[in-house]
Amino acid sequence: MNTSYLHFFKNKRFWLSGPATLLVSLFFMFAMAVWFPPGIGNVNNIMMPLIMFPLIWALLFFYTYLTTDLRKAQWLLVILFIINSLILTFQFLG
Amino acid sequence: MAENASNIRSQAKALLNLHSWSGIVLGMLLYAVIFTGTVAVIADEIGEWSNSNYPKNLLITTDVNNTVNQLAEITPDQYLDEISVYENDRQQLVYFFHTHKLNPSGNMDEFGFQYKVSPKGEIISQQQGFGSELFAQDDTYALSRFLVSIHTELHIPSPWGLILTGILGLAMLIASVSGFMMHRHLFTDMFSIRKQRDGKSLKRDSHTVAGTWSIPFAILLAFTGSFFSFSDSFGLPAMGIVAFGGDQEALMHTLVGEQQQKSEAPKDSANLTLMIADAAKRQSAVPAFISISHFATESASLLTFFMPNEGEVGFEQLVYDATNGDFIEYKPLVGTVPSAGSAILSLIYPIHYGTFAGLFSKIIWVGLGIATCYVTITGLQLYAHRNEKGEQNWRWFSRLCTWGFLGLPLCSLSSASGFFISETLALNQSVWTPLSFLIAAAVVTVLTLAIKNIRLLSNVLLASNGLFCLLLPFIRFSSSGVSWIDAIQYHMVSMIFIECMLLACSALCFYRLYKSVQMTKKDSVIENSTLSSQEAVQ
Repeated sequence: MNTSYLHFFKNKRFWLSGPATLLVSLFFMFAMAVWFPPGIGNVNNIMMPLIMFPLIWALLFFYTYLTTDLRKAQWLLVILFIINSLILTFQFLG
Repeated sequence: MAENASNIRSQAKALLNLHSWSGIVLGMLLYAVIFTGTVAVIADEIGEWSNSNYPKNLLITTDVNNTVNQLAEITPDQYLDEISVYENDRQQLVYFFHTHKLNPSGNMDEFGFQYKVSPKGEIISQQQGFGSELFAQDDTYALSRFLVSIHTELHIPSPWGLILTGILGLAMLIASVSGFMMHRHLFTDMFSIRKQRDGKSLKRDSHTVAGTWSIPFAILLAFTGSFFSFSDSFGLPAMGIVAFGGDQEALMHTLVGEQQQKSEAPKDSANLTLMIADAAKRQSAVPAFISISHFATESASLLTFFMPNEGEVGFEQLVYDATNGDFIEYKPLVGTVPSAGSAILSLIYPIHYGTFAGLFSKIIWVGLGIATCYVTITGLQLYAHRNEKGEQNWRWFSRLCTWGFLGLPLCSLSSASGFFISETLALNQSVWTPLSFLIAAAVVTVLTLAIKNIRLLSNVLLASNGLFCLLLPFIRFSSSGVSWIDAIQYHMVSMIFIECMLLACSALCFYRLYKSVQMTKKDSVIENSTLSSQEAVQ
């Protein structure tokens, strides 16, 4: 921990657990507003993504940080990113 | 088998690294947020104490209907759109006749006339402006508002302060979850302070014990805190863009649960005082505030808002048809009908601020908040201690820890002194409260740089904290003239509670100071005896 302070920038796990996880969590939250059932109160699709965001981020963060199979974690993030991007694209353009 | 054990070891090492780094990188800011969060739990009590006040329940003991009608006559019609009424901490009812429009920062805000009315119905002050500005300039809440704002956004302009505190919430979530996952003996760690230990080993034990007890609390607070920060800063506007195509007004109408088109045809409103009395009777409590929409029209309605009541965890909102005075419904916090989103939201605030069982739950929350502060302090001190031994360059980190850990409480106490002294001198309390904090911060910084011996620096700051805690009740008494006898006579629970806490903190500071001085003496005796034995050998 003392040897090199900038060493982690070269680490693939840092990029996966850091920026990639944050980006995917944000896209997941935004897309949830589209697919989550609004319920009879018509507010669940607004409130639940906001409430779930820290949980989604924490789950993805700990998974990508602790997994021994980085390739699997990378593909999981890519798949989640593509699915949520498609949902958002259809919402705005479809 | 060997591979499995190696995996477990590397995972434990990874968790320890994560736990350390999440604390080290944001530890000092996290401490600031946790410390002021502990203070924010009792913000209402601090508000009452700082004004030497106790609630007079003016919403149910005065004729609100008569006052609203009188004020409506002198207020331009466009501000009758919405009227909010609450009792402030100076035994006045604050009536805010307002409409909604964009403020200079570009945010939708309340704009209108604010009247402060005495219990006898006399107008004490009248101001026009945006709700956010009027609240920011209100001296009544200068102290509690300043302390709470450190907690919510560290006084950094919106939305960046909120985003930073949201990130700190996530860092706290990482530190507490990784702390939990690292424990191999969770239950034994809860009680494992070894008597024979001292110095760093004792500190590590204390860190583990306090951390283990406060893990569930820390996880809950980190989760709810990051929800508040992120949803306020960018979450809600983003939801408006995705779900309502950018129509923020439609989003607000959906959340508030109001129709966008309402009849504005004039119609006399029913007696508001009777509706408030009915709501108070139904809830067996006094509303925290009321809100009258579309006053004196066919769409007039009254909403009474209640803090969590006995046996309830969430907030309650009772809605009345203000044209005829009929009770309509218990309104959910968001939307028009009960929903999972609304139910969870109404739980988050009481869980975060510990308001669900009155002062009792707040005391528990303050205790757990102090434990979490202690975990942050000992965690950073452990890191400083470890590095200090190897490298002399790391001495600055111990100094920084002392500056932050003892400096922040001292600056907060100084801001409270500034609040009272400026009141006595008839100065602007909203200006002098933060200014006193900054002056104290400058003095603490100069002391930190000037005093070379860290133990001496720590003792000086401890003594100052103890002295401020001891003096604050006297400073408050000299500014307001309200004594403890008055407090007991008028059941001023908040005032007695805060001053007892201050005296307890003062006693704790002086006890720690005494122990520290004793330890210094003991160390110097050991040092002298070692030197004399070396001289004897020579």
